[in-house]
Amino acid sequence: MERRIPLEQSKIKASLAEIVGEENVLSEEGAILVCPISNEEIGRILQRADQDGFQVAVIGGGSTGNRTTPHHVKISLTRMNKILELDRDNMVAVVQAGMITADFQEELLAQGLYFPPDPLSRRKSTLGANVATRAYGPTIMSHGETVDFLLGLTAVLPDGKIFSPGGKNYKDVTAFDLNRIFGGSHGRLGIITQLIFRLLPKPEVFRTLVLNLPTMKEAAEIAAILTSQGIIPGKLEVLDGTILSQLENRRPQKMSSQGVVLIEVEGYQESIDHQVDLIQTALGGQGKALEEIAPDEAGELWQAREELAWFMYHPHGQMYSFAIKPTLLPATVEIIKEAGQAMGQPLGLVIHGTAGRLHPICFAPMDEDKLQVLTQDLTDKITELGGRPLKTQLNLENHEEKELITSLLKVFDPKGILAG
Amino acid sequence: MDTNVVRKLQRIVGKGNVRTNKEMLITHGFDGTLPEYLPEAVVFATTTEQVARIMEVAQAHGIPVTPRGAATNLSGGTLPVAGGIVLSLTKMNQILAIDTDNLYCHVEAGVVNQDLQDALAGTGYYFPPDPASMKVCTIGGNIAECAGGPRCLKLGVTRDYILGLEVVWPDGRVSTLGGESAGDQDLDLIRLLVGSEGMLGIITKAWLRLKPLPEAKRTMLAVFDQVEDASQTVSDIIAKGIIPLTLEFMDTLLINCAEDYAHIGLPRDAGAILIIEVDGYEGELDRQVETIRQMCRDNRARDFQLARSEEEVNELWTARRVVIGAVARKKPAYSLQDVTVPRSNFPKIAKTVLEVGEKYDLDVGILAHAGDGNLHPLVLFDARNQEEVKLVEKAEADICKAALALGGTLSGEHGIGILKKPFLKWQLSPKAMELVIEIKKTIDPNNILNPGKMVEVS
Repeated sequence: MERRIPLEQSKIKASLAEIVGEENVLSEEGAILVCPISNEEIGRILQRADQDGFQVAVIGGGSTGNRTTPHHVKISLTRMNKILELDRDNMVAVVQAGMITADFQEELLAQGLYFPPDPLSRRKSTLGANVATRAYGPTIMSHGETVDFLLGLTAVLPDGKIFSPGGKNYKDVTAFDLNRIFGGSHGRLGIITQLIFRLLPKPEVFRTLVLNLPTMKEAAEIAAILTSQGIIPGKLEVLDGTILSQLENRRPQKMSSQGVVLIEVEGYQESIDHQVDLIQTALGGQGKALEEIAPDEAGELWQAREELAWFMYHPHGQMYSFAIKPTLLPATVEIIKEAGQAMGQPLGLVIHGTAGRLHPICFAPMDEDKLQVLTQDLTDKITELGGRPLKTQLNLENHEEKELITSLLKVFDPKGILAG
Repeated sequence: MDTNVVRKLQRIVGKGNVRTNKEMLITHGFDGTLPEYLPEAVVFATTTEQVARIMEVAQAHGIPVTPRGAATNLSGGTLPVAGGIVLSLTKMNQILAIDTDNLYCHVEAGVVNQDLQDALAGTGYYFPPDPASMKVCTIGGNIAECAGGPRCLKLGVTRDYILGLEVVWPDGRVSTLGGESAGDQDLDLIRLLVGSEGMLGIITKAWLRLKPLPEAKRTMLAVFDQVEDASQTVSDIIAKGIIPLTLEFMDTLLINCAEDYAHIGLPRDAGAILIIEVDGYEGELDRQVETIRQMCRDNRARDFQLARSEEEVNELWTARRVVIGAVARKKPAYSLQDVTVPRSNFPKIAKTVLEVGEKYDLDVGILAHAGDGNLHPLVLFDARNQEEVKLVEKAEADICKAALALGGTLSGEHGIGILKKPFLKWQLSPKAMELVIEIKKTIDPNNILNPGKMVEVS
């Protein structure tokens, strides 16, 4: 439902300034950006939106690009970025949705606590956005995605009401899951302002291992072997040379080949060597190439590849997401390589864990037709192999559940105040 | 039931799978709770297509449908309160695929949890959700209630193991959500369905996540004179950064009921016991056991034992699993609740539950998955004694209110069903209630699927 801004921008800015203060209403790329500090302010903004007939879109850290159009009012939670409560007895944190993921994780580690979900974009992405987009990273197999840690939240609903489903309870099946339904809601059900996450104790030891393989296919094989042997390390990621080369001179020397497998094991002092041995044994001959990274270097390695998040959501490129069984990863890698060759443009590839989620990325801006061909090619061949394209956004075009999802969105936002 | 409708149903599933005789209606009119209802027909489906077409017939004739697995649920979720059709999924019990290389299995909803565990035995992999009723309950039921069990603190609940679902919506449309690997990142219909108590859709198949078996496990029994000491030990263990596999709590009433049945030498005069387990790599377990032993000692445990054999472990767990049934030796009926509180409030709620028992002069026991703050207070009574029944209702209300006051929730794993329906307004805000009702109305506008549960929709 398209809503035009019947009032002039200046009038809207003025009414927003009344709510949040003039200094917190900005212009950005022709749109109005407002930075509230409380649930109440957001409630008033949404009620204003209803009265004055404009749409609102919440934005996160901007790591996936900005899909809102100029006539929306954008809400940024940049001023709502703190840990409100760290409850060690219950191993939960109550945190504002605008906090940057990496900041949250690092604050917790400093206190002996661990929040594993670590999307590549963690230095830019907010926790609220990670819930709204069901973000995940290389801990996906061992620990799960961000929403797996969600126990409760607070959201401001389109009618301005403040809604707090869930709580600190580790198990809660009362009524429907009004808390986790915000997972994957992409800002369309309400504006998430606070999250209650369960936490883990910080593992005693972390060790980073890297394998440099001559080809991406061989790297994918390593990942598949580990999974089929029941080895699920804390972090596992497979990156190809094409995407790593985008880092240019910031590319770590220890990630120099065409197919890099990055592993982090975590756990108790007594058993960490054993974990490494298990990996080595599972890999047989290739285990010899397993290199352990010194602790002070390890941090840099993981951090270097975070820059790749920019390329994954590159405004001029195209990122795909597919799901496929881990044992079929090597064959899928071949398909992607061939598709790139057919385009005359190598595709970058990131595989998170062996959850079977992989992201082929096309860097070069291509015209619509060529892009269509590539999309069809990848989709057809990967589907034929047994995989399927994943929906990463709340895009209802051609969606099998279009009617159902539309009607659920209407339950929360009957007036269409929130834009995706 | 209209003979015309019966014929339509027979044409879908075959004559033998549409039963209207009294015995069938009665046996499919009750579940793990006390109330009994009578449906008009019991229909057994063997395929998803059949389930879909049954829903179409139900819609066309305005007949309520109550989906049913093994009906071991403890909230009344499978009671056919509005009559109509009880749609049994128990014949859809095929394990379609087990793929340990890819860490998943694919099952029909009627597969019994234990049957899946048995099929996985020897593969080196398992399906962690293990509710106490696992010998009988079905995966479909586990999904509909988001079943828990004793391992949730470390391993999560049923929801955490769903990779994909096949669901038949109330209008008969069939959807496949997710699949054998990974997941979409748009609106999470899977998580909406898990724990939706058979009110939004009928689960017909599921792709489930498998986990590799841990290398080793240690099982311990700690005995306390005082309930408070056992409760405090729970907090202390977690505060040490240990995530036990299980942390089960039983108080004296239940210890005695379990011992009456199982005769394994549980301490009858103890105030409470804890069954504690840790698992992981062999090398890392001894230190955890020592830390736990120390925590127990610090809290005046009068005995601490490490199980020395598979047999001893099984004995302990049998005693734990039968305890709810075993209370029947004391009184013929029990009220079983499922309140959950943030773990730090476990000592308070445990104390309150026992005080409520004293207040109404009722036999009360506590069984708890203490690590997740999930209690099962048992109030024993004789259902024929109307006075007692009234007191039990008061006791239940008091316990729910106390849990809510401590930031808790009415149900950690059993669901709301009909038993907790009257209390729901104490927990849900008016807005939350409104959303629950609207979601139900949106997905099931004619209120055909499992009506009368959780909320009033009219």
